[in-house]
Amino acid sequence: MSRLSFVLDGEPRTVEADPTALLADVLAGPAGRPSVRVACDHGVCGACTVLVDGRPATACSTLALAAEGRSVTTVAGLTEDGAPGPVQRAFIEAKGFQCGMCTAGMILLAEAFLARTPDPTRTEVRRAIGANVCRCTGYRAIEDAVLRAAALKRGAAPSPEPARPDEIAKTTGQPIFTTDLKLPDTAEGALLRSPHPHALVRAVRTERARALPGVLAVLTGADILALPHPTYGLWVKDQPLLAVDRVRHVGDPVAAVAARDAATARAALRLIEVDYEPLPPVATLDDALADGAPPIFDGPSPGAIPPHGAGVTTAKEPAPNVLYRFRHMVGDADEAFARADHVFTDTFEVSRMTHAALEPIVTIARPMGEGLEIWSSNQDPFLLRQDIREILGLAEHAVRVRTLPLGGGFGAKSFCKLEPITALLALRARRAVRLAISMDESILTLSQHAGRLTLSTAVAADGRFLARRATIQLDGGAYADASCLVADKAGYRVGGPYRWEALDVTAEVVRTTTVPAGSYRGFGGTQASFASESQVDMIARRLGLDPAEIRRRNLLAPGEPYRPGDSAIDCDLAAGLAAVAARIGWGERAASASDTVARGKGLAIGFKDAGGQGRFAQARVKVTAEGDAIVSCATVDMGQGASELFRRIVGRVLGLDPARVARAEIDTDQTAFDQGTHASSATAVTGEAVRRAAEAVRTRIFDFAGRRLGADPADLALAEGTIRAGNTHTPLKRLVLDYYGGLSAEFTGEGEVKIEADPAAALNAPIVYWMPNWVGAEVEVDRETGVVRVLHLVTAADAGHAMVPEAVRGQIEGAAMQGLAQALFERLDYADGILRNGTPQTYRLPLATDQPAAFDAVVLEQGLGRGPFGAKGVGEAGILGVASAVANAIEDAVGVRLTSLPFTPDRVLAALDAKAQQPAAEAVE
Amino acid sequence: MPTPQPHPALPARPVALPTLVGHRGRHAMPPFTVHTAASFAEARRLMTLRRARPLAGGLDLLNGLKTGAGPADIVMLERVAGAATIAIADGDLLLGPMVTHDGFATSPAARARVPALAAVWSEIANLRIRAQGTIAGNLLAGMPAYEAAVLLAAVDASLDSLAPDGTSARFPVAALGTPTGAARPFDHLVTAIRVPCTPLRLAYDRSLRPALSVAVALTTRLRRTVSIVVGGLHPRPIVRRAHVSDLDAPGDLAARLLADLPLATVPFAGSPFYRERMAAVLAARLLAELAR
Repeated sequence: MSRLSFVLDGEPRTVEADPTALLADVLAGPAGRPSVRVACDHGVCGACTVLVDGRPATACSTLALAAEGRSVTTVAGLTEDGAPGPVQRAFIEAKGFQCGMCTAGMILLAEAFLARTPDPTRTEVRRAIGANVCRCTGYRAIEDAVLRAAALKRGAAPSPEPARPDEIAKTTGQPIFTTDLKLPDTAEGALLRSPHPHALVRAVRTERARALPGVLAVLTGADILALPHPTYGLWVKDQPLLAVDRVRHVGDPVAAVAARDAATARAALRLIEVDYEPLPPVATLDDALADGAPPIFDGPSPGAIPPHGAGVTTAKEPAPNVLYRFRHMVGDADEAFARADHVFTDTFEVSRMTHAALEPIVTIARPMGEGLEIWSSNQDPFLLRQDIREILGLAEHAVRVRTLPLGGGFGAKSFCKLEPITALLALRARRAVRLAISMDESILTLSQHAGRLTLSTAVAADGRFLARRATIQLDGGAYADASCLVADKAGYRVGGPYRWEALDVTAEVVRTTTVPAGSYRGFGGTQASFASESQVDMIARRLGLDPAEIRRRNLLAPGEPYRPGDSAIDCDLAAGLAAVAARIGWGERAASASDTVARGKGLAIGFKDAGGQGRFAQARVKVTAEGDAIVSCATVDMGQGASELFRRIVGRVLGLDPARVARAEIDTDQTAFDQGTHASSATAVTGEAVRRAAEAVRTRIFDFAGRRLGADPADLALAEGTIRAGNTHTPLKRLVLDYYGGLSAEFTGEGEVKIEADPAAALNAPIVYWMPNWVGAEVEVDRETGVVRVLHLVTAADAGHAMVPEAVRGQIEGAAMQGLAQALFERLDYADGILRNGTPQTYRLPLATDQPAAFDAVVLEQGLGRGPFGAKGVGEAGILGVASAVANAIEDAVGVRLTSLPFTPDRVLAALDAKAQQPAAEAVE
Repeated sequence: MPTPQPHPALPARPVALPTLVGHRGRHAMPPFTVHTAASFAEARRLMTLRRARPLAGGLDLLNGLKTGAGPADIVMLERVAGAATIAIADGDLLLGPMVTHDGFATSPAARARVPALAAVWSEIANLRIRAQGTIAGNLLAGMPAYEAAVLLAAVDASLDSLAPDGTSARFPVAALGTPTGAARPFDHLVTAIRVPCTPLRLAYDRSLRPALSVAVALTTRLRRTVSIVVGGLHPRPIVRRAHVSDLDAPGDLAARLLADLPLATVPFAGSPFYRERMAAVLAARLLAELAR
């Protein structure tokens, strides 16, 4: 160790540090700056950006020694008298963040940029912040924030609106995430992962690792076999905590180590010897389904498929390498196809993305009494408690799960992941163990589903849709995770928001020896919408119909059931389409800039159900004598704005400024139950439970106040902690102290929502609400290079009633950027079963500079939602329709149809070449 | 003065730990020692005696260490006198090894002497990397998609260096090998990048990075000479030069100069031959731009 002296946030500072330590570790460790968070650990994302002598530096890729004698500024150093400084205030005013993981780095980047460019244009800002990655916002709000910061620095008056505590925490660098959590005496965990896509594990020798000083526990498949339930997964539980006798994808965990520090844990991993016997990889859908394909599992897996409803049949592991089959039938498809004037059959291929949440997947488990206390960056604290109880054979009361806000999720942190193995390490090591995996490991942990979708659509002469047959094959990767449910959703959504006489849809999950696929924003809806909305456009063009018109003729109307037995459409699909068409200038064609480029426009309506299946959520609201409120529920805030939503719901019911409503931390010992943060259910399901809880506590307050005031509770009103009875205003506190005495009291109300099962609905419960995504895209295609530029993107969603408008807009924009990236470039690139871009440096994420030149996120409030005050969620909407709208615009521009994602320049050019060689138009069947 | 010899106790090769799938990161860095040098001579001596690798901005060297492999000794150039300076000598612009992308692009001397290159340089990388990353580091990182080699080869830049025996050497950037190849100055200490202040016109297209990037330079000092440099297809850029009388048919000229472009060896996720075809397309566009 050596002494390192520098000026930290304006104060001279000397710390003891290893001279080879990286600046990020010194700042986050001995220097006490938790805001310096390492995300990609590759110098790519910029989350760990600090300023060294005023210039931005990537702290994960800078030796601490380089800071010797210099001035280092972290985001904490930008505060003024403890309050947010101008750039921080601007980020708060412009809502320039969601989860907050990138925020410190973005603010410091902006600070450095504005020091040199005090009056920037939006284009200059876009280039500047294009240095860092934000996976949540879509960047528009960050640009707004930097422009606002420039104005504040030039002397503009700050907004009088007070900042929320979470906003101050995120912008000033307070510790808020699980990755920031530092418990005393905590060991570090690490996983040894398979280098083979498919192999038998013949032997695992751990003696040398166990003998390494500082190693506290080493686990292998043999330890896992001794557990009551050694596997996990949603529905089908086929994923062992550690590989037992076989590895099924590169990155499959084979052994786990707990050691005194991270370096020792990795040194121990290097001492573990594994004898593998490689097996043929099963890399693709075709490989897996070929006759004689090597089976990835030898026998049936544990778990069961829950009941489904009318028209649906399911099968678990119905064929070799087929994990699951979902079939949904409505009406008589044979009859409808027989009388169709046209039948169109098209096949589409979707790529898969990685989630790339900036906060790593991190779990800390600490033995406590008969069980464990767990902190995890997971969306499902109660499901996690249940899984850990089952897997480890513990009593449910002995497992306590705490969840802090997540630094991004997008599905990566749903359901059980690495928590059970961390818990087992902690039990074996008899001390707290922290397992924080790298972004490289996250890429090897879970992905979106790639897939192939073949749609046959029967159409009447007037363009009316009659029937659709669909075959969907999703690449589930090596293990089930949530794949079966994703198949349900893809299958149920592939008809889109249209009226059908008949449907016959089969959706299968196929196992391959690739990264397991599971929850990803859109959850099957993205894949289904791409195929369906592409084909709708193709059909329109083949029939010579306006793509907008063919949609209008077939859209479901408000109040009309989506499918027989299901809930009614709660949005005006035609009105949304008209709004987007108007904004994109549908029907008008702008001149191209040159002969080598062509412009075109496309429309799409992405569509999915939302709110989950048969969900149950509880909430609790407490009101103090002062009239302040505390809301308790288990929806995990990961930047979507759930906490602020709940505050506003409570505030609205109780007549209270939301600033006086606190959100309690999530702790399964304390918090009201929830089935998890999925399916954009926070607003419509948990939010409704919160509303009911707030109403319940209000009723209790009125009952109490009525008794004390001799008034009818029905005649009372509540405003900012004061009871109004006619013209009399009485502070609640006075009534409480009068009755309960000086030791005071509180009021508590509880609320819950259960979506009742109904076998008349295909998925065994009516859909909570419907989530449309109307998209208009204008593109420019370079005929010589195949480069597609999105000139204008309009993306709209229906919030029903937007309780937190800025959060709604942010969700739409952020999801749209993910959809745009998937359309144009983002994918996990597998070749012969080997992942070729499994690092943050090689996996391309969208940057600010990837935004469309014009980007309109439109928040519609169509007022038909069934959630609290008519609100609906929008968290997944924005991703649904983008890719198909871009594909449709490309065809409009240059007459070629791209049916495989992403539309990379080489693919576009290949399509143009093919068209040039075969210019004959497709015949209508 | 006798040539310094490596310490006999030092390992013959850099440290290389077994690869751990998914564990590239700072916790996987092997142990190493950091030295600081106050002069090029001291840095050169440490490189020879300790087999140390020089560290300038550090981004690529440290990220390389995160794979578990790398040098056992590092010598920081940050405090080497003159390492961050931009000077003029013999009609050339000399960029010290600590000159960052931003330092070069915003340098008054660079803007005055090599305005086209300075202007293009303000577009590469990003705000954060431009502030921290050095041109020399970019050049010697051996990453095919990196841009310094493309642009410096286009303007016929060279490297001044100190060889292991302390003698001075000079290498044209266009002739640089790879860190693992035979034609390499990678055991040298770069003391300056030498950029000729020759009047030239320069155009650069990085729109298809990392698949490829293309630079075209046109000089007219003695004869009209066109340089086309294609980066991203091979470990080092491909350079084509020709004397031309005019640029009336840029497409033909690009096709002719790039006709024998060797098939790309750097992996690419896309269609075969796309990059080779695009090299000609982008080069033709850049030539047309220069012709205007």
